[in-house]
Amino acid sequence: MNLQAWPVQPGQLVVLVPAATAVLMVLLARRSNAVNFAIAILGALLGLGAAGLLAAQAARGPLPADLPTIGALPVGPGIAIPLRLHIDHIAVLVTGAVAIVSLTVQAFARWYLFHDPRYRQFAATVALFTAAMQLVVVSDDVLLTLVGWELMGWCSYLLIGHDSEREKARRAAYKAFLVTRFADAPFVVGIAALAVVAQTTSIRAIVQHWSALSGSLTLTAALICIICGVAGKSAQVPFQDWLPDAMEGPTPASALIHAATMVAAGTIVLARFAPLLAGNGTARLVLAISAGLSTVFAAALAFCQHDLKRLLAWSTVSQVGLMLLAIAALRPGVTPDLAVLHLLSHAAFKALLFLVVGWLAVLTGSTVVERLSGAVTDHPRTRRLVAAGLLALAGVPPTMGFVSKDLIVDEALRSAADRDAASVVAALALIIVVPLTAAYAMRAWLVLTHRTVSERYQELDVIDDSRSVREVGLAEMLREAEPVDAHGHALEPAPAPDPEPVDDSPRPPIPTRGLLWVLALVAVFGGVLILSPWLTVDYLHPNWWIVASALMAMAAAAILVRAMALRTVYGDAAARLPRYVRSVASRGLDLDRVYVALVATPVLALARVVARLDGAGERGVAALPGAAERFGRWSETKHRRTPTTGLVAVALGVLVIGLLGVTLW
Amino acid sequence: MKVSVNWLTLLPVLVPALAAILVLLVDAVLPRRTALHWWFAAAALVGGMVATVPAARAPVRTLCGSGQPCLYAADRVTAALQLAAFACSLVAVLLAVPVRRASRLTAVEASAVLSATAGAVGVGAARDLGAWLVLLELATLPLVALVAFRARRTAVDGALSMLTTALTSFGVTAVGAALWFSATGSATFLGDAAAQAMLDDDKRRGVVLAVLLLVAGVAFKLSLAPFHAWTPEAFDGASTPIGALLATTSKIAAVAALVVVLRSASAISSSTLYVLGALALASMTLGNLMALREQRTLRFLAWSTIAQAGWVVLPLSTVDRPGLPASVAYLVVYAVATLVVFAVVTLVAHADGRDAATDLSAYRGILRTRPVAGLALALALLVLAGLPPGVVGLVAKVAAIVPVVHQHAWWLAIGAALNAMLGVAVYLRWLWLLWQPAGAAQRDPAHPVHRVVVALGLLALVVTSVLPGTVLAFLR
Repeated sequence: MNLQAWPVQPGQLVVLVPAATAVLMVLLARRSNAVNFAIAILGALLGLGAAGLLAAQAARGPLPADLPTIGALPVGPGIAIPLRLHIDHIAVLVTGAVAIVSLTVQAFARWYLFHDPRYRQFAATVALFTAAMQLVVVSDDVLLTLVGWELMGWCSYLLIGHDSEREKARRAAYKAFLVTRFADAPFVVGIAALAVVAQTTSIRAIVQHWSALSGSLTLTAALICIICGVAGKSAQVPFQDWLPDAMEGPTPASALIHAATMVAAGTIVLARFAPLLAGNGTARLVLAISAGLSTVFAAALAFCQHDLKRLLAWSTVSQVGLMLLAIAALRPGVTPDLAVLHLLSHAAFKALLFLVVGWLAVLTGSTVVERLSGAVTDHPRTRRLVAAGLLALAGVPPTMGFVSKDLIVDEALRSAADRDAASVVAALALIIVVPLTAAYAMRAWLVLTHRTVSERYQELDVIDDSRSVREVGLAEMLREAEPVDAHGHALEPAPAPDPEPVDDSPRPPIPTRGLLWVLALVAVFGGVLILSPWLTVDYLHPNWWIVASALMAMAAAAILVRAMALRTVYGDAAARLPRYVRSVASRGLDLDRVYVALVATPVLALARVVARLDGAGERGVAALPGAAERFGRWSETKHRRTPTTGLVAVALGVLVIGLLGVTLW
Repeated sequence: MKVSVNWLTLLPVLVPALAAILVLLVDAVLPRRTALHWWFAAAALVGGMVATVPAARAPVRTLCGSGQPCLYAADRVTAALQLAAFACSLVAVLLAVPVRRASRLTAVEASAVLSATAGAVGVGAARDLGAWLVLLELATLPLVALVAFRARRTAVDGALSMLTTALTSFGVTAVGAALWFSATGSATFLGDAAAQAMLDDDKRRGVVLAVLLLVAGVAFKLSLAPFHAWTPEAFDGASTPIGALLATTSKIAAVAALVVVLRSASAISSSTLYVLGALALASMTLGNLMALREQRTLRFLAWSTIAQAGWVVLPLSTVDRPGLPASVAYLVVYAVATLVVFAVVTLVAHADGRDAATDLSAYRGILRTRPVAGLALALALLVLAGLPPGVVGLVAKVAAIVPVVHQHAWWLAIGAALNAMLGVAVYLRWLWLLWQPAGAAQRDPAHPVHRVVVALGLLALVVTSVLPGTVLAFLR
């Protein structure tokens, strides 16, 4: 099979297939959810197949690195817009991850949203979203990147606001849209500045052009603008607040947006510009501060969340911060493979966790601690999945999460030893966040596996039974007593003992569970990817002291959390924190109010000023006909149908013209 | 001094002038023959049109003294203006043919039309200060008589108003001519006398003032504000064919005179020419605002003329080279559209009586009752407003604004653009009526001559709107 001879290369197919799926779903499946699901799953499988072909191509030999799309835009000599794709090994790996997560989400959504009247729209949006993300991954043109980037923004709006009849979902969707849009403005400016000066929109050409000018102020400003946009999409400080609110979307949407696609897109874009970042200390410092603050702050908030889905959301912010820290600590000449590795491991375990929590939510009715407490114990099918996800999240060896995170810590500390400011910030943040991550992962595990609640339910049953005994009167007891023979044996045979209770709680169908297991296996064993030749990762010389001390810190944090969780009602370690702290943390430290004070209020005030000016202008325009009418009437009285006024006008006119002419000269 | 005379070159002026005398002679021999005089005048005008052909092909000149510059010169632009003047007079004459009037006056009227045309044709070619003044007045004074001949009170009022203004303006023009002579030392519009005088600090003010006074004198004929007061009175009083003459031939004469002055004074700075721009803007605004209120057809047309005169002068206010062709092109488009409107008004007035035609509401539903006339009227109004499908009007307006924009005279360009919008409102007011359901009034059939003129006008508007480039291309 000679892939090179195909008219459409796999690198183009990974984008085209999901896009075509979305279009087909809109066109063909107007009525039937089943047809819709068939198209969706087929499209997702084909998309995965395309990613697989791409991987096969990469494994076989050199990749067709440069692929055309719709041809260059003819815009004249000022700027070249080639609109081409660039496939490298990073793209191969990430497209594969996106395709797997997208397939799992499509399969899970059919079960999760089975009775949802708007399942069809949801599935189509997921497919479009996937296409947009794949476009960003394989794009070699800032224009294409921007197209995918904006498309993801719109799709995330639709997915988060899926339950649009709920006020909270609408608000969350608006918020996500507004905040990311706000951050996109500098992103577009930065990208445009880079492209215009380089006179091309090809990313590789831009990187090449600017590499020669690595110290220039324009480059620093443009990179900081791009970092702003990335911080918006990846929910980093100061734009972090939209992401926890976005949990109002259905769980599959959260798994898609927060695992492999939108929040990770920033990492991909920065990885593309990594050679420029590596040579620019200021931009890296800005990135390190934003990502470092995000990762620590979000991990701390994750620990305090009352809603486990929001815990996962904050953990996403924290984990994306980790990826960006890996880029911020990048030394010149080093590829950003570590960040991509963590992106892959995060995609696996976070998608798994979101989907399993969604499953548990279906079983228990909610994702708050009180409901989910002991859910895993009650539903043992989920136990291993949850365990795999949380272990990878906490970074316990030998899971993939451990491998990727530990390599980032190792790299950052090495760079920090060279007194690189951005790396020092990154290292500090990493040292804090490693035990914090272990702490909130442990907390989630303890809540989910808590036994006390089920025991309490059993006690309640006993109490109920005893009460029913007490309420039965003696006479009724005698009258309704079963007939016995002389020996006191029951005349009728005793009923057979109850059969072993069957766990018939709702669960996703077997293939979907199989996909979840695939994610779990990747989350646990995916660390072997470092052995692949596609990632240039130095895994042979780890600093064992760092590994050991990190593990010690994690263990200490876990033990502390276990101790805090003892004798709490729901097994929730955070219950030991003051109620005030927990409630403020659940609201994201009320940073909403800061947004309102710093952005919304001034903007609204400006809008009011504009409205007032506009109103004045409108009144002015509205007054014009009246003025014309008055002028006409006045002028009519001056045209008195006698020659005199005409003569006066002529005389005045001559005078004025003469004066004007002579003075103007 | 020996002056060489090429009679063939002078024919465009001589034909109408001699015809004016011949008409009177014919009347003396064969009294009280009404239609004959008009047809004779029409034939003379057609002859005059033929006589302009040489000048349209290549620049011609005559009346050249030995060592002196030639006192009669006509190039393509002059020829175009002459041709337009003949054509407009011809249409006015054709419109006048069926109109009943006192038979003893017909010959005098025809003679007056011919002499006014002779003045209009001659003034653009005259390079001599004296001839220029005389021909300009020749183009004006017969019209005063023609207005007065209707012998109603409004007509006499209009004629009086026109006469007094004309005399005052003549005075102003004469002073301007005297200043010109004293400042440049030349009694012609030739050579670089004006440019030389501009270099001299003492004479510079004199030249500028002379040019401005000449412009003010001509502005009366163009009915630019504030020299416009006579226009509504004269239009309202005159019979409608004479109104057409006032609105077209007279304006063409004024533009031809203005072009002669501005060409010779091309050294004048643009800031002085902005005075012309200010006049244009004032005319447009006043004309449009007053037309918005006007309910009587002829007065409406007068205000419309005042506003359109502003557009004609607008490109002349720049020293840009394309300014002159743009101005002439606008004038031609305006003349065609205005003639069509006057033709329709005459047709209605002749068929249904003057009172039925002089109120705008009389045209309610004319598209149903008189489809051809209604269509012609609608298209003409669209051209005047500059709205598609009257494409040629739009093209002319754009061509008129382009030199102003090249000059970066933004205040002028913005003012003109605002007036273009205002103008749309003005003409839509009338246009709107044409679609309304018609009243139940009795309709008499129109006169065949009027019908032919209106149909030809409609044809001209359609052709120029389909091929708007032809009008401009002729002047390049």
